[in-house]
Amino acid sequence: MIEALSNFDKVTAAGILARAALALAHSTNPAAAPAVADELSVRRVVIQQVRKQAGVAPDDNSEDALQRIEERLDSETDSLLGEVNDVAALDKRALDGTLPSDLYSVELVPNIADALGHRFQQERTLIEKTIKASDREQHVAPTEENNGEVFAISLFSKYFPDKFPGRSFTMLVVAERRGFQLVVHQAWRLYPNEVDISEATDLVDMLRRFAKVYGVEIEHQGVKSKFIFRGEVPLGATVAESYKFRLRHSKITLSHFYKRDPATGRGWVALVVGADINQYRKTLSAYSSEAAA
Amino acid sequence: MPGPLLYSANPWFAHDISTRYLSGRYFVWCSEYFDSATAPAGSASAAIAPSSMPAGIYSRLKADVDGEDKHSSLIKGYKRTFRNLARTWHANGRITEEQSSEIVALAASNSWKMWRPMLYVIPRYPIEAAGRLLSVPHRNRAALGPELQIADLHRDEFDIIEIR
Repeated sequence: MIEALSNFDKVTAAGILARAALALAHSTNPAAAPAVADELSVRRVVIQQVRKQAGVAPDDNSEDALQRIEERLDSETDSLLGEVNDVAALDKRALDGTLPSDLYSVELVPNIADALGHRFQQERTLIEKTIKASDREQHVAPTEENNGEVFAISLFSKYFPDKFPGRSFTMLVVAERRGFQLVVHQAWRLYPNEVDISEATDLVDMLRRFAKVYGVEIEHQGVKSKFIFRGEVPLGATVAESYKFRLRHSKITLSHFYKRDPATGRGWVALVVGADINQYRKTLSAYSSEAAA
Repeated sequence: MPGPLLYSANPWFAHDISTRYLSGRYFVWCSEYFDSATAPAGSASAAIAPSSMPAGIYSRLKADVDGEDKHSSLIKGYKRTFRNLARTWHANGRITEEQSSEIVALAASNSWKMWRPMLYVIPRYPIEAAGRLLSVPHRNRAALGPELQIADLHRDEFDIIEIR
C-alpha cells in the first residue's frame, strides 16, 4: 500500500486513488474534486510515490508517462479492494435482463433446427446477430411481488435490409434467460408483405402478429387463440394435456415457456405459439435469394 | 452564431449508469456544434479539437465498436474512467459497494454493445438560463475552441439519437 494512504480505510483510500486518476485524465472533471480533508496534498504525495514506482521522471508528463501512472493507480486500487468477481457482480443484471445482450451465451432449442432444416446454420448466424446487435429489446423479469411466477424472457428484433425491399425482413428472437445463458425458443423472419408489424406496439405484439399469420388455433383452459400470452396449467395436468389443437395436413411446432412451482405444483405457460412450419418454410423459400435466382 | 442546441456524444454505458445508478442525473461534456467543420471559418467553434467534437467522438466510437477494435484508445479510456468513477462514487456514498462492483465488472467485460455511441441533443437556453452551462477554462481545453460541461443534466431535458 502507498505510504501516504496508510491512515485511510480501504474504501476511502480507493476513492483518493480513483480521483487522482480522474484528475490526471481530465483535471476539470468534477468527480476528481477532493472529497476528504487535505486530499490535494495527499494526492501530490501519492503521485510522487507512484511516479517512482512506475519509473516515471517527476517532470515527465508525456502521454505514455501519464498512462503508466494511471495503470499504477489502477493496480494500487485493485490491491486495496481485491478483484471484482464478475459473475457474482453481474448476476442480478443477468437475471433482470439488463446485462448487455452480447455478454450472454446463446443456445437454441432443438425445435428450431428441426423446423429450419437445411437453413439452420444460416439462421443461427442471423439469430446470434439479432441478439448481440439488436435494434430493439424487451425484457420480462420476475420480481418479489409476483413470487417468481413471471418468466425471465427476453425478446430481440433486428432489421436485415436487402437490395430488393420485398426481401428485407425483421428477425424476431424470443429467449429465456437462465443465468448468463439465453436459450432461444423462437426465431422468426417477419417479411413486411406477410406480417404487418408497422404498428406493433412492442416485441410481444410483433410475436402476436406473427402468430396471427402462421399460427394454428390452440385451445387452452377453454379459450381459443392463435397466441397465448400467459396461462395457468391445472394442478395435476401436464402441460401437453392443457392444450388442444387440430393438426391439419401440416407440421406444427409448438413453442412455449413453461414453469412449475415444485412447492405448490402450480404451473404456468407463456408466449405460446403453434406455428405451421410448412407455411413458414414456404415463405422462406419464396423470399430466399435462391428463389430469386 | 451557435444555434439553440447543444450536442454530446457518449457511449451507451454512460447513459446506463446515469439511469440505473445515479437517479437519472447525467454529467456531460457538450458542444455548440455537432461538427466543427460546419462552424463558420475563423470562429472559436471551428477551433474545437476533433477529440472534443461530438461528430468525431460519435464516428470514432462507432467505428471502434463495429470493428470490435481491441486497441481502441477511446474505449480503453472510457473503461478506466468508469472504473474510477465507480470507486469514487462508492467512497463518497453515492452508490453502494454492490453497484460499484457491477460498474467495475461491466467496464472490464467483453461487451461491445455497451460502448455503442449515442448522441444527446440538448436544448440550450433552459440550461444556460439556470446557470448550469459551465465553460471549461482555457488551460484545460484540448484546443482553442470553447468546451462546455453540464454537471447535472436530467433525462427529461434532452433527446437521445442512436444512428444505426
